[in-house]
Amino acid sequence: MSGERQDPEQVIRDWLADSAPDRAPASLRETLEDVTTRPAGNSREQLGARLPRLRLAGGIAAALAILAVVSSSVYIHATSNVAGPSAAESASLATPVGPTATASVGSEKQLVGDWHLVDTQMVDDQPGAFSQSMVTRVVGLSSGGFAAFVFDQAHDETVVYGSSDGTTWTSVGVLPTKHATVTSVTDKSGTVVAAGYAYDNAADTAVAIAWVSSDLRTWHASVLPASINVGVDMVAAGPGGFLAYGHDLTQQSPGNATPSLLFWTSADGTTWRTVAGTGYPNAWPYHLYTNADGYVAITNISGRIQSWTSVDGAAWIQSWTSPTDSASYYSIGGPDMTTPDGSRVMFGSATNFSTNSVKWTSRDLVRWTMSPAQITPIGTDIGQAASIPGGLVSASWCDYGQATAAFCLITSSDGRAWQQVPVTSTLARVADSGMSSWGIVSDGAHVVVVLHDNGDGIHFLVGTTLR
Amino acid sequence: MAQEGHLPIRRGLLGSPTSGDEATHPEAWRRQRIEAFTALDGDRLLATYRLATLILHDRDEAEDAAQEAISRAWAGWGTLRDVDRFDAWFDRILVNVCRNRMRHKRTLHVVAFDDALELPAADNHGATAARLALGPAFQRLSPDQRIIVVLRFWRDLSIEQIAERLAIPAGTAKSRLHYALQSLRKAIESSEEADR
Repeated sequence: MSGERQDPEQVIRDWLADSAPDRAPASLRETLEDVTTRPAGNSREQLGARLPRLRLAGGIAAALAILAVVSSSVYIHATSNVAGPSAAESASLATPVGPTATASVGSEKQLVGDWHLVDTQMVDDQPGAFSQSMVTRVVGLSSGGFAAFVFDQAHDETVVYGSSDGTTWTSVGVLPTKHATVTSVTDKSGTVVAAGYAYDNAADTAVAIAWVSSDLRTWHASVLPASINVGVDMVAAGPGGFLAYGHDLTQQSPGNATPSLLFWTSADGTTWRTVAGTGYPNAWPYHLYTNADGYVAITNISGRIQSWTSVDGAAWIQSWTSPTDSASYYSIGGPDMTTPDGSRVMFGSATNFSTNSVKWTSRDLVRWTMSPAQITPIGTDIGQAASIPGGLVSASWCDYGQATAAFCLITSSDGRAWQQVPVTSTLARVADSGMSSWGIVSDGAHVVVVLHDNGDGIHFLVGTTLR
Repeated sequence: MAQEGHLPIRRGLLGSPTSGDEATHPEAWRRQRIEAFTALDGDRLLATYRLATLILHDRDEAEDAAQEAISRAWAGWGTLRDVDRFDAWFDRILVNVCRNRMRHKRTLHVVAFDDALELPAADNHGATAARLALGPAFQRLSPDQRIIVVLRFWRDLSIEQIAERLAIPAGTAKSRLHYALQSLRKAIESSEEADR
């Protein structure tokens, strides 16, 4: 039978069938019984989600042991740069406090207030369970205000909404490309550049595209050179223009090793050219930052965090490597955040669950110093955060003890010490609903937390900065 | 073209469950919820665990994900707008939990294919090699690609059904499946070449 060509789809079906377990673990039935027999009015059911059983710390130790002993038979999936804590991970950091008991926390002057919930039924054209708004990207613009990219399924096009305050949104434009997938948005000096790819059903291929606008209303689409079956992963605005990188969609996915990245540059967002990316290693960037000198890509290579810098995106040099083995620290990167003292901050995670989030601080975005973040009294993690006047704000998943966790907001004036935003009725309602955060953005005057409910509805939690 | 205009925003609302409103019909609301979750027991629970296992390819993670999905669905019952679509709604929650676990996971994800992949003893050599090659190839897929492969080839959902379940454009679903299949085909073909 050897050498016989097989139907790949049938092989996949067979493989999945073989991989499916025969029975469900008893714990699932226990969970089911637990929720259905819980007394009505029990406060625990009002919180977002119960935490699964704790076994991660042991799991990590076992995983690392496996990795060390039989490295040839295991596969390491590097994590993305978005480090929202899973409920289980938060559990090991538990500090038993109640969600309302923490309302008194924060005698320090608050950085954001007037939180209110905006229910965005953007393209909610069907009744029933699916009220998905298909918000693909929400960004705070450096010139003020926000932009949201929303896919309109009825017309197979991406509608751009604008808002000056995060609360009132107006549809202002449409990307001139069908089947568009927007993966990244940046802006500089009034020019907004969105990037991603568009899939051509007829040709069964995708091309990388950048869309540029100066007013969110009129958009110009540019197909990036040499981009058949290529998609843009990220676009950044640097001192000399814009830099985008992407990868061959038929090859590896972000998070895997040995990528073949492609780089493009543009002075205006409209005319793009391919650049070699000479010197750049086989490593996915956790994030692409920009500073006064050009671009900084943060990577994790062989267990060490590295900064690779480039003036123009065409040639790269290794500019910094973490001094100690940082294999325990990853999920680094994320949006560029600046504290009031001028420090740049990014957050990571540690495999050692006895510590909270890891904070990396830098003055130049190239050389970084690691220290634990002190998030008290909440046992939580920093993943998504945004810079605001006076500090940082993060949408997190707070551990309330008793195996219960829910959405919460925390702020910090220095990125090191954090406090929970007092729980108002609106914030309690968000936590009670079980919604979780997709991201948090700010334009300086307002903060928008993009929330995702269990029915896949999209909601915006909007606050006003107070400094 | 979308018409210019204001978003139909409702401030401070979290949706309108058609399964009964807790404030106005608390007993009916609670009864419906208990009935729906009681019906999860048995085959439906196994199907839930299987779906999570195939997406995550890690049975412990799948167990946690299924637990989390049950708890989230229970807490979020008010967001279900049509109780008749409970199954699809619950599937979506489960898939979202799995996706979040893959994306937000801050642990080294080490997967050994010892107990997750049990090959039938009577299988021919070529098919066995191909299936062995699928494991690593599947691990290299992005979370969204993994989900779409499982929904298509395990759940046998159409592109349109997948798009609805994932709340993504059909074109996006198709492109994700296209590129995922390309990667998996390459792995299968490579194993066949090596087998010759």
